[in-house]
Amino acid sequence: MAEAIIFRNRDIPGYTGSLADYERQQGYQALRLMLDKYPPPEVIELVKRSGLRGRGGAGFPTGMKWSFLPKDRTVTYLCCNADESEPGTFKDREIMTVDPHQMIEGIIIASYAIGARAAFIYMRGEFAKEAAIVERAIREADGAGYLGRNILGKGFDLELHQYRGAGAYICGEETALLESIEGKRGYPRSKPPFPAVYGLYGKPTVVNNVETLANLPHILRRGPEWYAAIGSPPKSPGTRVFSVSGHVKRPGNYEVPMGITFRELIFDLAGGMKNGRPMKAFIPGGASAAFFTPAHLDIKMDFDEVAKAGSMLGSGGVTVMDDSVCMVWAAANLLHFFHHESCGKCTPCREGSTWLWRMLQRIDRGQGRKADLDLMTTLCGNIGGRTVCAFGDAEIAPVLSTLQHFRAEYEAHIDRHECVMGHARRGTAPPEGDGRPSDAGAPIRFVGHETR
Amino acid sequence: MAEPLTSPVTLTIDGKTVTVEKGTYVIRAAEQAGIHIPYFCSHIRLKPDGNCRMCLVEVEKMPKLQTACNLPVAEGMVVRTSSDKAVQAQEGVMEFLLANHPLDCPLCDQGGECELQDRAHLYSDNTNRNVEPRRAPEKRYFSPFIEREMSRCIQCLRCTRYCGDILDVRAIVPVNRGNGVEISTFMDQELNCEFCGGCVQICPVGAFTSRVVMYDYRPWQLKKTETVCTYCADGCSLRLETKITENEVVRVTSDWKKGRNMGDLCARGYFGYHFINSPDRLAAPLVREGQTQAEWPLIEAIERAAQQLTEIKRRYGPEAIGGVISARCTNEEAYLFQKLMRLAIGTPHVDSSSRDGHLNSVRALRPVAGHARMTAPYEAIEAAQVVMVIGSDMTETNPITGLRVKTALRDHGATLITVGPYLKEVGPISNLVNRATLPLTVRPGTEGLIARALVKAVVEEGLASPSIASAIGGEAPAYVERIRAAAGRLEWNAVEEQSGASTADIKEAARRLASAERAVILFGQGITRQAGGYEAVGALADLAILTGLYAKEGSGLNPLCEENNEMGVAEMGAAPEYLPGLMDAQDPAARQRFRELWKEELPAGAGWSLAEMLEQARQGRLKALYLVGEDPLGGLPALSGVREALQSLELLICQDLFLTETGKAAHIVLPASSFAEKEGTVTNHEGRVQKIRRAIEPVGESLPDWELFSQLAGALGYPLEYASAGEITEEIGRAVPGYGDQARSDHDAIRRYVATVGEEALRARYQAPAAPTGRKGPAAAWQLIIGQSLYHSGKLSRRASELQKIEPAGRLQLNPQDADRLGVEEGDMVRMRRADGNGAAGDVLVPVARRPKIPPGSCRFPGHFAEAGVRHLADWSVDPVTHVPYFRSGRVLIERAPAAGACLPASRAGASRAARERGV
Repeated sequence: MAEAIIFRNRDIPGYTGSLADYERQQGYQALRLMLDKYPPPEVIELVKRSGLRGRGGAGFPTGMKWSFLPKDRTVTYLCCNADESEPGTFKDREIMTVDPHQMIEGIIIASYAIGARAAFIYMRGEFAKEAAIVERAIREADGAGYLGRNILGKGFDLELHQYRGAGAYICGEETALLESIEGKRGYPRSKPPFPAVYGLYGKPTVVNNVETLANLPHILRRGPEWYAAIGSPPKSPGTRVFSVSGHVKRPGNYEVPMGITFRELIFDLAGGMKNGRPMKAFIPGGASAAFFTPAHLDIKMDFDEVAKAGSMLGSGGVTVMDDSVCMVWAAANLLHFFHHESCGKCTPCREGSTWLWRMLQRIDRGQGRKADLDLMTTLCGNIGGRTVCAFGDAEIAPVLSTLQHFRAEYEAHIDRHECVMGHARRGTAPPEGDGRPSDAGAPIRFVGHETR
Repeated sequence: MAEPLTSPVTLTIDGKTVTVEKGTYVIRAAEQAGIHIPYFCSHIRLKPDGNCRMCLVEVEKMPKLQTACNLPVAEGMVVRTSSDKAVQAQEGVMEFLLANHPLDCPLCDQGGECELQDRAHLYSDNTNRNVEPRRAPEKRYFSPFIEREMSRCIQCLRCTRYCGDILDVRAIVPVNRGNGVEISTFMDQELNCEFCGGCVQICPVGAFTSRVVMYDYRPWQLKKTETVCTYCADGCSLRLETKITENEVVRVTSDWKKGRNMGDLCARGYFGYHFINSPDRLAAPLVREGQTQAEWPLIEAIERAAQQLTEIKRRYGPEAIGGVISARCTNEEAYLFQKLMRLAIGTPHVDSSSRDGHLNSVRALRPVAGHARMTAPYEAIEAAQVVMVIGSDMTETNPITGLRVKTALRDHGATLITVGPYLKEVGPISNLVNRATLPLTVRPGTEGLIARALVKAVVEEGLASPSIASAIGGEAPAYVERIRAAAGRLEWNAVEEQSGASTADIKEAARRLASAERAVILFGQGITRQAGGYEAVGALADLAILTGLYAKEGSGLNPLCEENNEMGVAEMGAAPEYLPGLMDAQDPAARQRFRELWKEELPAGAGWSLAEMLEQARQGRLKALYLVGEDPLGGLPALSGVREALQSLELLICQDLFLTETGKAAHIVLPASSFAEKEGTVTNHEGRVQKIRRAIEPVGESLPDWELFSQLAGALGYPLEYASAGEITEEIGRAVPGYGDQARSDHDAIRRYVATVGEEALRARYQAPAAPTGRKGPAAAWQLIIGQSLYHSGKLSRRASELQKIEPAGRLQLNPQDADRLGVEEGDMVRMRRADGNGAAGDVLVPVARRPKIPPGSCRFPGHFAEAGVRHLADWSVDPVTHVPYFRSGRVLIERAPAAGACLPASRAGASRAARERGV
């Protein structure tokens, strides 16, 4: 196993993530080094040379994102996206909990590089414990002179605020996140203009993921060349933290160099399939990523290889399913999530997510029609690429990929009322309390119409 | 239209080459090329939002389809709006929009003017592939005025964007998420807002419709008449939509592309039209026979009026007759009325309700600018860097002009300075003080003092604009010196003590005003209707000259008028001191000019204003009074002696839409037509002369006022015959040079003014005013302000049934702290009386409203509610120069009324609760 970067302190016995612990492990050394040695443009140059790409989902090169800021800007903001809400992804949560100062040091470095004097951590609303840990760390850093006025006596000022969300998945989308910090409803903005030009309070803004920022102290301290050589250079350098969940023996977060195969991650590190059942499918990068099958296990886990195979590394959540899982049910389950979390701003996503979810649910219950499969494909076509934000592309991925890889399973539901989970029997309602999506708690009532 | 583009961009849309201004969105460029791109969320008044996705188009070199509504044009861009890919996407969006729509068009009031319905025909193949259960939001009570049907909503958010971005009210917002998004209020309470009707008008579907006319019409059955609102002087264009067969105004709409308001309306404009077809309208003349008034045929009533006027003229001379016309009449009517009075009757005593404040502006500004119109039009307000609003609660008095101020704040972060007694308040009605960069909170009635202090700050701090020399010539230094000498006599500590504002704030306001490239001052009733109003407007004129507002492009001094044609009726000469065109009635040259035009001798001698007429009536010198649309008994305080004055008359003629308090005391009452029943022009406070058009036939036997004047003149043996209002308009055009022109500042006038304004006049203007008279009296006395409400104008609005539902009764507005001190809750009754113990007015019982914007120690009552009698507690004084009567402030004592059971229904909440109980 290669050297851990993000989790280098995680397994040190007795490590608490306090400022003292972090400083003992060379914490804030990168900040000192930077303030002594590098003017902001050089920091941007260093990060560009490291090849670091965003760890939030889209994999955009970090240094390049920073350099899109207009030259004549007066006020700039940095936002740290800690609204980790993707089903199957729980890496940022551990990164913040184990070593909050690592993220804060990264935030200070990025703020210095882009000239931000105020930075915001947008914390997922449900992360109460994490918010408390981060809040304490901010106070520690502030007390030690790493934040506030004239940091380390070098004339750089930074205010860092934590802002807690209110439980909306969409607020992880960077422009919805900005709206939310501004106190508005979490609706994504139309782009362009991008946040680099028109961001928080209309000012140029950079939004970076927790893991992305956590990499910065190490790149600064050990040099971009060191970082660029790790993993799968030149396009996918460095390590990544993958969250493995589902039917594996050892679910959890694994920091690995980019470019290992899914097989190595799932079978070597996560211990392989639980209960000895065969693997049926896995999601390679969070709920928004297209399903893979065991045939994809030997694909290298770097941004481009996975994209070439028709999915994405996304937010790094790998969810493994064995042969007891019905793929129609799995898709219906995900679409329930997307239908529930669609912000409702734009038509295709708002209407499409609900429509797809209802169709999948119906097919799963054995009331599917032959025409449904083609209709779902057309609807997905009318959603993908036509929405305000990437949510539309996310919600169709499970539908299209399960239709692509498991069409026969759909047809078995429709034609023969067969389902591995026993859902599709004619005339039987699904059992209560099986954890499947239902209308309970939905804000609006649905009434039958033209269905019978 | 064909103005050259400053930075043209050329692109191709569907093969057509289009050149448009840089920054134009593709959807508008296509519109200019005559190509229709379908849309729902886009709206010309709103910033693009790109949420409905209906306007997806193909753009060369862009991999994804783009929304045309928020895509700015680029040089050489090639757009395809109806390629297979684009049309397929548009149809896909349409399918999604229809997937959950109830398609209840047959019973939807929007049917026939529904954007979804219209486009469904073009972008849908008339089949529905959705077999899933449909969204069926639970229907919940929303408002007595606005019907909400969320199953029809397409979530385009036009309504919430309008309510937030344009109105700055945010009464409605999207709630819930995804397919459950609904438009609702905070915590799903009953709607309580400015009731501008914007959400109903801007909704592309039938999600919001007017409850007032629910199921009463189909849009294509209605005749539409473009006219101008009759309430305030903002001059908003609106459409009266009428059922021809029933001679009834069914609803009001407006056109987003037309008029000075660009479609914006307020509660009065949108919901206030029911007075037109009110059952209380006078259908026939009334003539007094002993103690009763009997209906007479119109011809006979007019004959009777003519006979009695002739008799009085024979016995006492024409100077024993006076006339007052309402500023809600048209220019043509005011012009004809003064002609009738001056020529047919031969009296100089002709006045109008413009006297109620606006004549202060006219008298003070005419020497400076040649007129009293705004010198910065609405567009200039929107583009101004600094806006000062002094003595006006604009949202309540002039809501649509107020929107221009909000636009300046929203679009380019203009600096707003407010001067007035009101505090910040978060509530259903937007409040400019909340948005002010520099809110100068002053004691009620001291706005004029602040105007003077601002002038003092400008001259003392050396802030006089260098540009004034070019505007006013070589006289500038001497003028500045004279002002310095006069204003220097004001003491800063006296200003601070009286007004409660700090010297530093006043100086800062002066600095901001003087240093701006484009600055606009707006002033209202807090200046013109307060004692010393004439001098205060004069001080504002000096301030405007010194800070260069008359010289700098896009700057200006803007009076705000209450009634819709205050500007026009004064300009038409319905004032004893002015002939048409604001020419001096005593100026021999002007008299000569009109003698030639009218071929008649003008009455000699100075005419009387309304206040003087009342005084002269009491003295027995005025024997007959002809009131057109005026109700002094219902409007003036007891202390004015109006009742005694009217009782002394031998003849009182009232001409009105309704039988008013004064009408009940009249000898002859003539039925007049409303603005919906006549033609003519009105002049808004900007100086725009706009047409009003006949939408329905006159109600009952009523006639437009000008026709009644014409008939009366005929009966008096002095024919004033016109075939139409248009003929009068033509005569006005000959009589008044520049009539109809948008006013331009007259630089010669400024030069003359600067050269001639004397030290004595300036000393009078800048002398420290004595503390307001009412300040004497017990220390526990409250300052009473009689103000305006957004939902009312007076006798018209009080007969508008819907506005009456919004605000049925006047409430005494108190700061919550004060209310607590008195121990009164919302709706509890208090007893009021004058602090000086003058018992003429007696005690008044009114319910209380708790309003944080009212400064502690003050109380405000909306003056539209005559029956409450609060006006009788006000002081009465008359301006020594302009004869403007002042009767909207006073010192009162307030105590909690013992009986709690006498509660009137709460204003809005109570009305709607009552409506709900009635099952409406």
